[in-house]
Amino acid sequence: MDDEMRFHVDMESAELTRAGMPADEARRVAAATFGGIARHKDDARDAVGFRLVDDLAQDLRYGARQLGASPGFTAATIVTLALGVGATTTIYAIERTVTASNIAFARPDELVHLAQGTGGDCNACWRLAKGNYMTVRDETKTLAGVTLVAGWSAILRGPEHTEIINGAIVTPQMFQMLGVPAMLGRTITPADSSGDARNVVVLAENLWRNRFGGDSAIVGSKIVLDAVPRTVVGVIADRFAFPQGTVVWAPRILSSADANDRSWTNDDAIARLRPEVTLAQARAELAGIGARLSVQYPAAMRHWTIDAMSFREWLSPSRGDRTEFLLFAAVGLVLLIACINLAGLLIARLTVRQKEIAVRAAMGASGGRIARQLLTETVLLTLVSGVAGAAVAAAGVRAVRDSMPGFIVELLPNWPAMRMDIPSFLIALGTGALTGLVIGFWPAWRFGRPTLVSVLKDGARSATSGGGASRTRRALVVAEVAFAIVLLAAAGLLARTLRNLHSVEPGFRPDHVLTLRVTGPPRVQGDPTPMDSLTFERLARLIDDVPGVVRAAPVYGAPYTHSTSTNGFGIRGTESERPGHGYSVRMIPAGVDYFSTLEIPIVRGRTFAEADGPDAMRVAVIDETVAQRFFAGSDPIGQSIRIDSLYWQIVGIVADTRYGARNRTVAMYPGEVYRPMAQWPWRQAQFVVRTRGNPLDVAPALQRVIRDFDRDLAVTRVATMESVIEEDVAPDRLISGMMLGFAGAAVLIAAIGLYGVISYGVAQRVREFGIRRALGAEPTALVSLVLGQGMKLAGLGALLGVAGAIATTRVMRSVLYGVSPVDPLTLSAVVAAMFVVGLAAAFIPARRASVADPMESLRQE
Amino acid sequence: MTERADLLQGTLDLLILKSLLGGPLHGWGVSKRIRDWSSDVLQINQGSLYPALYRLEERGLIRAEWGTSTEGRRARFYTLTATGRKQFTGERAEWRRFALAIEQVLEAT
Repeated sequence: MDDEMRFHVDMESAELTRAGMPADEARRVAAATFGGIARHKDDARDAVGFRLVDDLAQDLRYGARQLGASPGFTAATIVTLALGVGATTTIYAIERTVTASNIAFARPDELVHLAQGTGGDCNACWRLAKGNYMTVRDETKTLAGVTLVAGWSAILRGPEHTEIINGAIVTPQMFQMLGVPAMLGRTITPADSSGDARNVVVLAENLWRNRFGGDSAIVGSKIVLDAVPRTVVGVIADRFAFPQGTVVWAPRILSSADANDRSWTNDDAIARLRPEVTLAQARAELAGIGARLSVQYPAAMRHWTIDAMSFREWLSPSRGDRTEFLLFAAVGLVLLIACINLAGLLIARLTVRQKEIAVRAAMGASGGRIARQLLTETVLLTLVSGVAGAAVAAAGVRAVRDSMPGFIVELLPNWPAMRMDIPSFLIALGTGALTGLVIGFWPAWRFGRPTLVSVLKDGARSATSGGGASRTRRALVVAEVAFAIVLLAAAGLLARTLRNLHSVEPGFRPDHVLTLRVTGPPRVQGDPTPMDSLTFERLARLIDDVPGVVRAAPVYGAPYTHSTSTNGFGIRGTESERPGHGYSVRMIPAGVDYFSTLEIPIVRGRTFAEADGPDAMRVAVIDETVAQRFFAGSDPIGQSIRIDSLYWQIVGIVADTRYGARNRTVAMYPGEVYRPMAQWPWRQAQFVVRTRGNPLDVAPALQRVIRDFDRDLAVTRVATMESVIEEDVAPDRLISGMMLGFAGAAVLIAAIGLYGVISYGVAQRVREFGIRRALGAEPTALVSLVLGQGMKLAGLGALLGVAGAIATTRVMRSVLYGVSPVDPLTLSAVVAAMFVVGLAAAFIPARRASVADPMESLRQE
Repeated sequence: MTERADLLQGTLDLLILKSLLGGPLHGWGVSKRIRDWSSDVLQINQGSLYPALYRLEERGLIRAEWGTSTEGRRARFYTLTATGRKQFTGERAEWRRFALAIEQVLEAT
């Protein structure tokens, strides 16, 4: 095209020369007559509506030029979308991490999980009892390789440290059933079920590399797990680790006693469908076996059924968590606000460019062609924003990952590895482009076809802010403000919840207390472990002697630690003693000095003493809640309670302590019953240690004492009581932090939108303002005029937003603590905050209006 | 210089087609021929000429290819296609009817 046009000019000048004009003069005239080659080229292109590839390249070039020419618009859009897309991607990355399950096994669709239930909604509520498992295993014709898997916190004795690793105890045929190959040595096989063969283990690759240096001599050597030496027979690749995160496996040997167990188990039963067998056939067969068993064992299995579900269904985590829903809703709102703002920005752009568009249309470019150009611009913009959004998401993901409390991370094996990966990035990009397409389409269609006449007419009186587009933009900004208010209200309620949780009285003195967890190996018959009922009390006396320690006590179920056992009890001589009529409470085994260490006030009676040993009369202490709730005015002290089949005499009443800041289980398990650790021993205990100085200073000495005492005791979760309490509210802190981030993004976007509308209005009326100034209007009057406009939009948005908040925040009820979902204080604060932001957003354009120069504005026309 | 006349909308295409009836021409040739034939009354603005050429090419009425001009320079030559020829005939008839009608109106007494 270039050549062609240049040729034209040359020919013209040659012609003029022939007519007698001097050569250089001819050339000048020819060029002048022709005009700008570039412009004609563009016109020619536009007029034709070029061929596809050329079009796209040109559109992109055009788009980039247009965007570069208006950096304010471009920046506002990119920030808006980056926030929206970043928030979405963050949530997506979290969701992916939490729900990730990688089934590496052969023919995974054949794998099923077996469970038992009581019918109705509960066909598969309970794990399959061992006896039922054996029945199914022996009778099934639809399933192959029925196996059991149970979690195992294995204590690994090391040369320096003893630690707990994630293990699993599995029936020996599991590896063959799943089709897991050994990368070194062999897996466990059915031959490993008798005699010495039972003490074999298989390691996961990561444990083998990290703890045993990846030395292949590991096969055949012995490691000590739960104080028992076991022979390593093989190593398997991490991707075959089942259950996920497991690093060591040992065989489960079922005894003849297990065959009679029809009620309860810790083991998950998994199996593989035989070839050509459908899940429905297997379920029918299992239902038949279940029905027969429920008749055969009416006492244990009345109405029980047995059912199966696919592996995928079983492994997919249950949905519908309120918190998760909240965050998804919040992030959806942020994206929505971003889209609304984007639509507003695009309309503003189009209004400004109407003249250009109209001229191009008049030159012969079709409506579709113009719309495509606008769309290309939008998509270009959103792609850039998508990349920026990915950066936002990367930062967001890192922040969320690092602030997740440890006890939750333990449940999420993939959590520490969470990052902004390629799929998440693509999602960010895709969301950006899709948003652009959807959002860009509407303004392009609605405002992309101005007629030359209307635009020129508009231009003649551009002092008035042009009709429909302006109204639409103001409506969009009002919507943005309203949605931002809803998010801000949610964030405010969560912030108040957090504050309330922080000010909860724990019921004891948490400062200068160290907590740690000590786990001993299980007592297996014939195994000479030193564990007996007094082990932990003896250990507590040794800890007492560590310099800096005031006092120490073992316990299981210390406040805020989220570990406790629950059980029912009945009061001797009352109706509650009968089975099914008892009261469910938290049952806490506590050492002699537990109450004095945490300084839990004694209300009446006494707490435990050394004399309450294994052979002494069984005693118990209850808290005030239990005393008031279940003893109906009678004095609990001296009465006996029945737990399982034994009686325990109540000797004292202590003040209530908090199970956690929220006291979540309080509805089901209202209070606490303490029993002496010596009379009710556990293989796991928490120690609470009151110290003189910084609790963490004594930790190394404590760990040495424990290791010297028994090198098969694993010490975990060493932390100060204060940090344990802090960690208890960490999920709330995380959620309210994320919500605050989302709300901040929403407010920022709304502010950008507000600023855009106001400053556009000011730009349109700059001539009017100039004249007003010339006629003697005070600058402050102009400022307040513009600010008033901003406040009108913000106010209307706030009104709608508050209505929206009142209508929607009730879904948060279960997440809130000590604050009503329609808390007036929070709502007013939120509205006030929005007004401040609105004022700030309107102030800059207002200033501009007030300094409008009459001359300047007249010259603009 | 002679007085110039504004082109009636839609007539440019017709003129271009007519100018190509005699054989291939480059863009400048088209504008030159129209200028000559109209005794310099019709001056085609290059800003309209090339968009019109490209539009006609897009519609398949003319074809373009690079060739060598009589001066030995590379130039893009436009040729009338069969469709273009048919289109020209139709448009010419249309124009004549239109011009006649205008003439009749102006001559009416």
